Amino acid sequence: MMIPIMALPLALPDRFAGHVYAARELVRRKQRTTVERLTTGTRGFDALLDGGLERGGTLELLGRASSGRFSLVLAMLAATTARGEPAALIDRGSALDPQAAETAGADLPFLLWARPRDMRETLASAEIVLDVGMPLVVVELGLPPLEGGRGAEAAWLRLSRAARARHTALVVAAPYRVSGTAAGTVIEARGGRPRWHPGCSRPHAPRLLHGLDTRLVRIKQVVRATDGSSDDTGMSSLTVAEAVRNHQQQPEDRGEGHSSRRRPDTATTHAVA
Amino acid sequence: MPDTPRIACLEVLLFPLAARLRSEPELRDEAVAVLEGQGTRARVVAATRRARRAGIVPGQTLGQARTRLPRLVARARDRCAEQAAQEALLDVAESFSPRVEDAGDGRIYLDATGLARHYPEADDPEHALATSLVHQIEQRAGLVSRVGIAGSKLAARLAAGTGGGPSIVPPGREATFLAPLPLARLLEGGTLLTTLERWGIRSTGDLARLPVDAVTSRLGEAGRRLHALARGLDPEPLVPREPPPTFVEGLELEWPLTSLEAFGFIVRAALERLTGRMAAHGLGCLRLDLSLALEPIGYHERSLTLPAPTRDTKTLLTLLRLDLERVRPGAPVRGFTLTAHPDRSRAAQLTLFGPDALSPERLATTLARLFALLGENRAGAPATVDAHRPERFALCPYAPSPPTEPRAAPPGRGLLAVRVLRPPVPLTVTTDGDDILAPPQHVETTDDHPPDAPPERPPGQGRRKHRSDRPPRRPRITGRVHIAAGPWQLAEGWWTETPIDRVYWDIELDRGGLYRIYRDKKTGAWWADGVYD
Repeated sequence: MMIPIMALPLALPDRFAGHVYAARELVRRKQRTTVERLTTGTRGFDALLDGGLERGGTLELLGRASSGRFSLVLAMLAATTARGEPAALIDRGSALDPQAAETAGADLPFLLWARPRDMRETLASAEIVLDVGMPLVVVELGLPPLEGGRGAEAAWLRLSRAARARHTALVVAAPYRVSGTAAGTVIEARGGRPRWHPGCSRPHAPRLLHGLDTRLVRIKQVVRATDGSSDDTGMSSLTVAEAVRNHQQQPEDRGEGHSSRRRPDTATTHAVA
Repeated sequence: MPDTPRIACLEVLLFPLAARLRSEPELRDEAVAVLEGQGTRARVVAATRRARRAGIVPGQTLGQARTRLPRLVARARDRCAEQAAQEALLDVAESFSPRVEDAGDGRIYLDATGLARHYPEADDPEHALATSLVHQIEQRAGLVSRVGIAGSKLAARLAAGTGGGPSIVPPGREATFLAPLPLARLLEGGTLLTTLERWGIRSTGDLARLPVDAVTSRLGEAGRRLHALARGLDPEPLVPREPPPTFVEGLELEWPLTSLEAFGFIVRAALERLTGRMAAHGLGCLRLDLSLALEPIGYHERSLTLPAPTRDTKTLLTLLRLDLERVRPGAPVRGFTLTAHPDRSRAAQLTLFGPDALSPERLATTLARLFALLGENRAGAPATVDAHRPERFALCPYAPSPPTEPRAAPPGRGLLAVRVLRPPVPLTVTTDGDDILAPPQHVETTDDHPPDAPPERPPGQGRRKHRSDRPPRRPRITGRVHIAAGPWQLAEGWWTETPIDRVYWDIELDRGGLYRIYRDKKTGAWWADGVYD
């Protein structure tokens, strides 16, 4: 009896059916495991991102003033440029101190620093720079309030697609959510707790700022097939559902996006002054 | 009878140091070392005589150098200054000869054939030429150099390296000149040198005396080439740098134009012709001059310099339009001329295993578009400034070197960064006491005008209509000071008309937030210039 090839798994005994795959499915599985990642320069942060920044992906890094967010941004830029790879910082607010970046390990000739004056120039600069195809582009939006920051979701989506097309890791560093659904991963730096040195009991003893403890919380993570295509067998949505299950341990959840019921993953970092 | 070919080699000793001292001549008599690398990996590459006498040698770390000489003045290697010094060297050399080869790192070759006839009165015309070269380079470029003149590039280079004044190798005597020199002057290390030294061949003359067939059969092609060099036969020609031509396009209009939009349509076609011609030569536009003929009489001249050579018509047109909006001609335009000053588009040598290279053409276009959007001095590679004030910075042209072998990712240093507040935020601060060094107790943002307010948006860029066009608002820093670390005093430029004298504090507010604030000792005013983030 002739069995159509697509019905073959159904015709086999259960113990064999799970081991029969179409070639297209094997290719997709291989692609999903070879996501290229860039290290962030911070071990806890890399672990939270399953190995580092995804090239072609968009990460939104949140954090208020003195949360440790900017230190993480510099660490990312240092990690990429120190390897001899170019990176760009779109710095709304011109907050970069080249001396601090160099001390953090950045190789400054490989860093492109753009200093836009407002949100319009920031978004336009990011779009221009993404066209080059650098491994890492960081858009640092500065301190709140962000004039024109919200309501630009279409622009962020466009930037996210450009990053995917150019195989660039796009990081949007902001004090609060601005990118809408454009970011595949959202990490928040919370509770920056300063540490002072020494812990001397004398009332007028000199103090030194020792560092800042930061807790990184993963708010959202979407796992996609690296070819970005939707699977006609529904594999991409299943993959996302699996990811949601992994995070929330609620098997009935479906679809991408984040939920307030999501139990976030966390990491703690300590930045030294 | 044709002149015998003669080549002069000019070499600037300790070029990274010389380029630095050219920018900072006040350091010439100090103990200065130039270092390359970052942090603890920084190594001395060159040092002044005073520093060398104290035991500072290349390869030492900064810590090792400072141990020997605590008051050593350390400077980082400055590529921008070196590029400028090299250009200055080439400018002087091109005033002597039109055929000059740029060998980089403070060395150039120039075709000295027939130049000696300009010194008929001298006993030794070539020596007079060499002396004049050294003198002119010192006077006009501010660099100390040495010169060698010979019949080949190799002999000229080795002659320049002998030191003690200009060295002239008489025509046809290259082999005699090279004979006593050690082989290490020809070969900078390597297995070939080790092999020859093991065979007892230590000088160039020893090698030259050997039969060429025997050398070739034992050492192969590399040995044959080395043997030829030892006999003074250097086939490498002088490759002069060609001054790039200019490309001109223009048009006389049938009737005068008053509208910028209409003018843009016409100029676009001319730009496309220009870029097409440059593409045929493999060149990009580095500087674009526009000359507008005005009705009834007069000219309006503009010049645009681009961050990198580009052939992107849209970018060039945008830059021209923005410039004309900023400085309008003031009369109808009856004709125009565009002159493009080109340069070689940057090429990238790809590697099989290294990281992907950026497309030079795309990078050049990106930089030009960024400049068109943000204006000058708003994009580039950041650079540190040798100054005490923490807010100082510099921007260099962005030109990352092509990737070589992939470098291993170094471990992160986990350092706390300061988010610089530009301009600084004025504060009203309550202190514990009236002393200028009294610690702060309460801070609050004021509405005083900051000392370094950003410049107004250039005219012609339109009124701000949307929230996204507004610049970042000043952060509010208000609260009781929970912890104050300091004071640290900073003074700079006391001998200038605007000296800096500040007292710094690191503060933590009771509502949260870590800030770097300072008090101006002259005015007593307080400012916040950084957020620890």
